[in-house]
Amino acid sequence: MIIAASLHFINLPVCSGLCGCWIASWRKSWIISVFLGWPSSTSERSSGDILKFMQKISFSADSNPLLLHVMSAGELKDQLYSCIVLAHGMEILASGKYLEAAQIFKEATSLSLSMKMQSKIFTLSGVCFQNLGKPQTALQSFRRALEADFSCLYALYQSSLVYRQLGMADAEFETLHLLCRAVSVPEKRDLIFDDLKLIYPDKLLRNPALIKMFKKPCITSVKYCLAQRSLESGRIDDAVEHYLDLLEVFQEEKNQEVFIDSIVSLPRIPEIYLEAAASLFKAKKFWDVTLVCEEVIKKIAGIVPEKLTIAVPLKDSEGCIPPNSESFFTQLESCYQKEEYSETVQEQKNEKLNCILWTAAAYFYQGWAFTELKDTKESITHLSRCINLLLTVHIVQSDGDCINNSETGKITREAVKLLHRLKGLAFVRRGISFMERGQEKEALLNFQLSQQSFPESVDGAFWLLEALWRLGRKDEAVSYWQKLQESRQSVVDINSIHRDAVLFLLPQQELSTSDLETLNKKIEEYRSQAKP
Amino acid sequence: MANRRCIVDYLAKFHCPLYEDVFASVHVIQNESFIYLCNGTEFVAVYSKCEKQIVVVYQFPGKACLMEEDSKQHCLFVLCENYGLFSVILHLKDRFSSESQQRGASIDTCRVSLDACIIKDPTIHSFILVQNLIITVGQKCRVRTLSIFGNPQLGQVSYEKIEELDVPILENVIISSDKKQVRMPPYLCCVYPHGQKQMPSRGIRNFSLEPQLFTLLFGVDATMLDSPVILCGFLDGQVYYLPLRQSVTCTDDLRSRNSVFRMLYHLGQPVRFIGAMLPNDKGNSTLLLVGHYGKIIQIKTEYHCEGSLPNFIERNILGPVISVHSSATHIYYSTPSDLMTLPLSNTSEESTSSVSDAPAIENNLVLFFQSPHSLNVCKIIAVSCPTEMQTGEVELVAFSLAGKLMKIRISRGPSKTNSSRLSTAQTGQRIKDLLSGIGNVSDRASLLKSKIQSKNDSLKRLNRVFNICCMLQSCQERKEENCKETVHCHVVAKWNHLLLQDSLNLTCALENSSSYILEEGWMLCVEVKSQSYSMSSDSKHFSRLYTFPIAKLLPAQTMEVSVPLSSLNDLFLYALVHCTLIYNFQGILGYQENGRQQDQNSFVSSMTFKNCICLPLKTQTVDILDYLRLANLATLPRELVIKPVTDLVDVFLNTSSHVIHHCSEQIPLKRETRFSLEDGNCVASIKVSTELLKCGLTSTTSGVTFAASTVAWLLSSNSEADLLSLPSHPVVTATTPTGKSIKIHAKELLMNLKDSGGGAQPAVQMQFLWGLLHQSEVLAKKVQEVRDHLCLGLKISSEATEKLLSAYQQLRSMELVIL
Repeated sequence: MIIAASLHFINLPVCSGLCGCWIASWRKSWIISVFLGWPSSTSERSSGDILKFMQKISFSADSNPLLLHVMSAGELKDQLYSCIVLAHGMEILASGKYLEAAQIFKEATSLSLSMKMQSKIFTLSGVCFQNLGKPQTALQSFRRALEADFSCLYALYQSSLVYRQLGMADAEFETLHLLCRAVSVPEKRDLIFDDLKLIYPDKLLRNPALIKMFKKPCITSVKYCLAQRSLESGRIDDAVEHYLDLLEVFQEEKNQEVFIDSIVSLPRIPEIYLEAAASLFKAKKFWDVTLVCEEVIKKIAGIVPEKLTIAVPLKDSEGCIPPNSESFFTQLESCYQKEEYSETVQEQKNEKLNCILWTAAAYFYQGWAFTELKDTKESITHLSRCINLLLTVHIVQSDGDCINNSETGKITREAVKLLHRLKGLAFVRRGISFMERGQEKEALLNFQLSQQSFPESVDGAFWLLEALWRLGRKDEAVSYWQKLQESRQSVVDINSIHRDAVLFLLPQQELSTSDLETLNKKIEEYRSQAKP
Repeated sequence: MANRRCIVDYLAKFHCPLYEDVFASVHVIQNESFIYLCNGTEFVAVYSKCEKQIVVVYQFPGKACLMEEDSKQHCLFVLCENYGLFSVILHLKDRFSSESQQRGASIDTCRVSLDACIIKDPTIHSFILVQNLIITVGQKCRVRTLSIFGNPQLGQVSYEKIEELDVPILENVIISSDKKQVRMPPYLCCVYPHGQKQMPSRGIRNFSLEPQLFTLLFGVDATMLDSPVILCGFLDGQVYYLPLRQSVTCTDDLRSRNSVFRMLYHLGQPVRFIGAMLPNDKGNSTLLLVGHYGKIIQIKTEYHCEGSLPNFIERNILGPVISVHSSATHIYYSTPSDLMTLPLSNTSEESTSSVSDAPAIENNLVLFFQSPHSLNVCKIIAVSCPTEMQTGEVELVAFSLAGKLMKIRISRGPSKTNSSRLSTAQTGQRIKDLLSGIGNVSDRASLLKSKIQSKNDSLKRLNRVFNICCMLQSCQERKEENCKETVHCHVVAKWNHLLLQDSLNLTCALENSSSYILEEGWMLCVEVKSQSYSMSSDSKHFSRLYTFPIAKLLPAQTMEVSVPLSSLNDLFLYALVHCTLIYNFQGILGYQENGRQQDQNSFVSSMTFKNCICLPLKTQTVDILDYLRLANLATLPRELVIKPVTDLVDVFLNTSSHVIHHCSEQIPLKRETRFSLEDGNCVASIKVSTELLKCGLTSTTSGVTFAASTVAWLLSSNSEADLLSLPSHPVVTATTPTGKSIKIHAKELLMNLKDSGGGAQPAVQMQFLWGLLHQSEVLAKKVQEVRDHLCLGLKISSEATEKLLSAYQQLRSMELVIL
């Protein structure tokens, strides 16, 4: 190879520069070809195992003395080697061969490396163990990484994930708090010896995945992470605190933080607002709920469509049926359909649907908050707004369209499910408000509508029975109750339904089991009375 | 529209380097009190509006190609080619306070050192200031990088890189380094949702959009986060947007919603400008994209029942657009030829403000009237952001290719016709205006047409004149007889009997035998030069000039003019007649009446001949023989009439030489012609050898004596000789114009051979000549002797007088011998 031959005459720094470029773009064969000129055993060279090959390379220190001032040849070799290990390991990690990757990283830990490099290698091996289902070992690795260099915050974040996996909530929150504090403190650029060097691994390693991984996460995302976990794990007060903190960050005018592309990705911003509203609701700060929701409504109002037609497939798992007949008209029709439901159009529609859902959810929370505040009139107004908004969505059943099986189609289906659910909930809440105002007939109608749009709702069923009972239509109630009992046995438990719901529509567990029991008792009694 | 007037004030003059794509690095920024100019060199000048002069000139290490002002921190950020971004703190406020009185203070020149370079990166092509961040876009090979720099500690100058993102390049777009392509830096600007209460005043490329449009374009998240959105317009026409606050998992796929950069629009031509227009109470309602080749995209909100949509309205103006800026309602842009303004009024606002929905046709009409207008300022290469004055005027600062920094003030015009709907009266007026405009234009067009026509005619005329000149010249170079196709002139003296009075006229006949037309502008000029033979002391020449304008002389036509000869007071021995064709160049430029008037006066003073071409046609001598009045002439055979020759003596000499060469053995005969002119019986005789005469008179007919034919030949050019047939008699009596009678007598006589025997030999002739020479030498000696005598101061003795008299007599008696 001509390049290799000519490289005999080029000194080491030039080669390292070349390698740096190639490590960044990961051109393994090129790197090997560079070092072919150096004395090493032929077996490694022929095998193509770059790591072994690199390990065996020995540099003589008799090179130009001027160059030694920058970096000694041995040191440079170590750096190059560690960089290659990282790049190579990342490649294997990305391909899912966790065991192999872990072995590579483990071998690398034996090298004398800079602290930063060590922490990176420990973190990566931790990730490998995490994926291999060895959380404790992973935690050990992360701990060692942090010991080596505390600025490696990715390790901290990953360990919080491991703690979550292990169900160790306290440890998880402690880690997250630590992370939050680490992020908030402005980074002190203390001049370590590493930074003064002209050649250091960060310069050689320009692997985008690595850069992204070891970048300092932004405060906003860490705070969100904390808030979300608090809400999920029921630490309502913490959640409220963190959410409000987060919203403050969003609205603060002087906040000029830039956050693009972080390890923890934020959900859509309106959802954060709604999650905040949910946490506030749980903390029974109803006025605050209305205020937060008002913000959402105000911001989105401009782009909420007056009506929306959206196509949803009949069945979830329907295969894509290619058109059999090749007649002109069907072709035309399919063309039309493709155009109509092209990906971008569908995406735009999804976004519009999202806007409707967010606004409706905001109205829903407002309405509910007013119910809690015993302002039934306001409550009914807001819930009506929510329902009216949800009713502007016209759902069309499309059959066998390819789009509906794609990713966007799935998103649409999820959104439509959510829409029905929200509709059901809204009807229930409005019904309750009517009940409280003594308008039982209207209430009953709302409960019935609720059951239509969201039959799985326990609340809906309970309140429907309650309404029937109060109206004196006990026979109807009993028959409905019987039907419900039968269906409930076949249907999976209620919790599963709640679990797959989005965070901002938390399971509203205000129905205590005692309520349910009293109702059950009532009906059982009536039945036993009626039977004889 | 038409009443948009602008006033241009020249502020300063700069050097403007003339290299290709100089437009890319010439920028003008203005604020309330200062104007900053980078003129494509390493200098950045600061002009004070109060002091009306340049106050500071900064010299950078490299070519300054982009600048922005941070008015809060009084900083000027300048991007230097091959170096990076420099920050210069302006100390202008101090200067203004302390030295405001000192007008005409010297210009400070500051050399900016490399220490002022805050971001060292030679790959940076463009930058923008956003809040306390600096965002740069650079390109290295095929990788575009957007970097975000921030200063963590406020007040410090140091900037740290916060983020570095690769701007994707679509695979199918080739960014060629072709030199023919336009080179310009990527256009960066920053958009805020209007929700931001205080608009950051940092830099001019920050603007707000109304929240609805903002949300539609950049998403709900950006609105809810009040995120500034960076817009990057690239050379390949792609306009990307990047919300500064977003959290997505990064993918390189542009089409996915998860990409950090998302494409707003593909303009298809280099992006020249991104701006916002048409503000309402919520913010700017239109986002504007302008391409280099004149494509303008207005992005507005379109109301739709299924949700509002951003509407991309495309229109095209005549490009290439060199520099653009937008005000609230107008775009100001410069093309290589002119500075233009384009009103873009809010049509959607109109439709909502009017009672009913405005019909689409009307909107189209409004669009139609929204056409660009010229401001009649040419060669502008940089335009600043326009500022609206309180008076409603718009003020622009511009920089021209000639290096002039100028302030352009544009008056808005009395009526806001652009934004309001046109009433019928206004429409009528506008139509009238347009029609009168069309009329003016057509008048001008016809005028220009006629001018072109006349110029063409002139050229044709000039061509013909030139042809004629060439023809005449070539004919003169060759011998006259060779060219038949030319313009000839014949001159004949004629007696005219008019009103019982005889007058002698000279008739010139101009014969056009060429194939060209002699047109207006040509003149025949006849000059008669005569010599008086009166005995007055100074016998002077006098001449008369006659010009005759030629109206039109077609081929094969003849024009005849007469010139009076007898009107000359004195009689003359002979007259020289010069015939000349003159062309006056005024004839080329459409010969008019005043030109004709001019030549009446001007030819007396021959000054005007300088503007003319003179082509001599003919020179002829008219002598007494030509105008003798012949009485009782006998008939002469017609054949004898020889073709008119110009000079008899010439002929003589010509023929004689011929004779001498070829027939010198002939015995010379003397032929004597005597005629008396004066009443005192004057006799003159000429002796001509018969041989010569014989040669000359080739067509001697039998029956006529030699002497008679000689007389006939002598009188051949006389016009009367044609009328009367000459007699076969050798004696002709005639009357001179003065009424004296004259007799021409020809007789043949044998020459007395004086000294030699062999008379016919040339030796004899030589001897004879020698004799004559000797005689004249003796005479000369005698005269000299007398003269010497006189010189000695002696009195003239009677002896001397006698001697002189005898010498005179001998001289008189000497015969004119023509050999």
